[in-house]
Amino acid sequence: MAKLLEVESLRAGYGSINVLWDLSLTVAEGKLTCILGPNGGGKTTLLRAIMGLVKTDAGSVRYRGVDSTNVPTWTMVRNGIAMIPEGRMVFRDMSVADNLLMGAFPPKCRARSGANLKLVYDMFPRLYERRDQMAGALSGGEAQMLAMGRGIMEEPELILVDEPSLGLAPVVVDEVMAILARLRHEGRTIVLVEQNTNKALKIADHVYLVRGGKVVLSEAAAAVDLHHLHDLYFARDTLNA
Amino acid sequence: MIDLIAQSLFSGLLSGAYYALIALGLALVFGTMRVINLAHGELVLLGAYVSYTAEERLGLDPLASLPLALMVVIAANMVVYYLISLIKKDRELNSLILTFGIGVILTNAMLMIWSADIHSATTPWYHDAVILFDTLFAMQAELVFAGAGVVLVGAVWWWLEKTWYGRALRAVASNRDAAKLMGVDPRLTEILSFAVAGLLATVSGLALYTAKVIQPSLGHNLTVKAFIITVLAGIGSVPGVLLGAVLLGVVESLTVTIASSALQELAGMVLFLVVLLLMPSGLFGRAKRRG
Repeated sequence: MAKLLEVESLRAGYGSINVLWDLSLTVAEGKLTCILGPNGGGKTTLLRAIMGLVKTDAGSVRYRGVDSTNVPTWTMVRNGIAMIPEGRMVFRDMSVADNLLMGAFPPKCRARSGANLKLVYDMFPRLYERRDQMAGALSGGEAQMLAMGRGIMEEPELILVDEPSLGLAPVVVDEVMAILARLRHEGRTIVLVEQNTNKALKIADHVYLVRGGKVVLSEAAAAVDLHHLHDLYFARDTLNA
Repeated sequence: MIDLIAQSLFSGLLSGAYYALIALGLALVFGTMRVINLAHGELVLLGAYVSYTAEERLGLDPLASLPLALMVVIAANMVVYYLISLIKKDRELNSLILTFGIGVILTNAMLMIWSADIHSATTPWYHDAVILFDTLFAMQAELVFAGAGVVLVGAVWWWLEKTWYGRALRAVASNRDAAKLMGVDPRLTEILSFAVAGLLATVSGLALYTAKVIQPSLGHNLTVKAFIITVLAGIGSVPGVLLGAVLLGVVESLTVTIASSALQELAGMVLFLVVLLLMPSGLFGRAKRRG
């Protein structure tokens, strides 16, 4: 299987605080790769570093075999990578419809923006009902849907999703997971960052566990032993050592 | 007396549309970048002086000098943008000091180049009177630029609401990182907003030169007027600019007619205070902009 994204020995952080410690992982094309791990482990920082929102200090990011380390965010987006950030990052003082249209800003997406808008509204009828409201007035779940819809408008080959289940009701989480599974079946490659281990494992092909800025487990989703995974997740291995 | 009031209201409307023209550039940059360009009035004057020189030396009609004035003012505004982009910390506050300084430098440069004499367009067409409904007087220049003011407010509103780059500009103002994730290069949209602000300043400059008089020290007054209107409008609101400007124009004009021209500036300030007391976020402002 072709490697779509390769991260090698990535080191990144905020100012003098380093978060990622020589982190390496690969994402296979057409697969759903899940990155699990506790809070503060560096999952979001990893996505931000891949997208160029956080400067990397060492290591490399390769997309389709081309070095993309510290490439400006907007260029990464135009190359076909979309990051769906947590719902707080919607444009709060713009309408829902305008938020979605912003997803189609890359020139090659504009021609099909009308059709894609309809697609997103079919996927999330709530967004259609609220299309003229300010995004700041949405509930947490609706904002999360908006962030996803906006990402879909970008027609990405590779989607990086940052904790889509955060703050959502369990029923809505199932819905979000179903949509991600559907996007994968449409042939898109997905990187899913999650804390909700059980639900993420059901749709994932490959699993990485990131803790303390490092990969501590890399396994095919089918081979994952939940008990072992949770031991690593809560760092019980270091307690026993 | 009725005639007098009607004429006063009419003049107020005309100067309101002209004020809107001046304020729109400032409001655009303020709304999209959170930068108050305190040199905006000086840029308006710069446009006016280019037009004056073109008329004086080359015999160009002020409207025909528009392309030349556009080039000079937009180039100057690009320099302002470049200097602002060098600010790394607390851009909102530090840009105030920077643009105030640029304004002082521009005022003195214009004094050196064009002296402190008062000038106005010499092409007679602009000063010819038009009489509407047998009672209302206006100069042709006033009518032309009041129309331009209304049209440009509408155009800027449409641009921000309905076009890809207009939306991108609002997105950058709303959440810079999220805008980057939509494929937007924030610097490009900011350069665009400064270029459009330069265009609006130039048209205001021509209005000033043809309908009123120009003098190098006027820049500061223009900036203050533009700022008052922007705050009256509610930061980020384009239709509010037109309403705020017309309100200011009418209040000033009625004050002159009913009371005294000495109270004109005072009336504007009183209006400003009253609106801010009653509606702290302006006429069209959203209650909570930050958060």
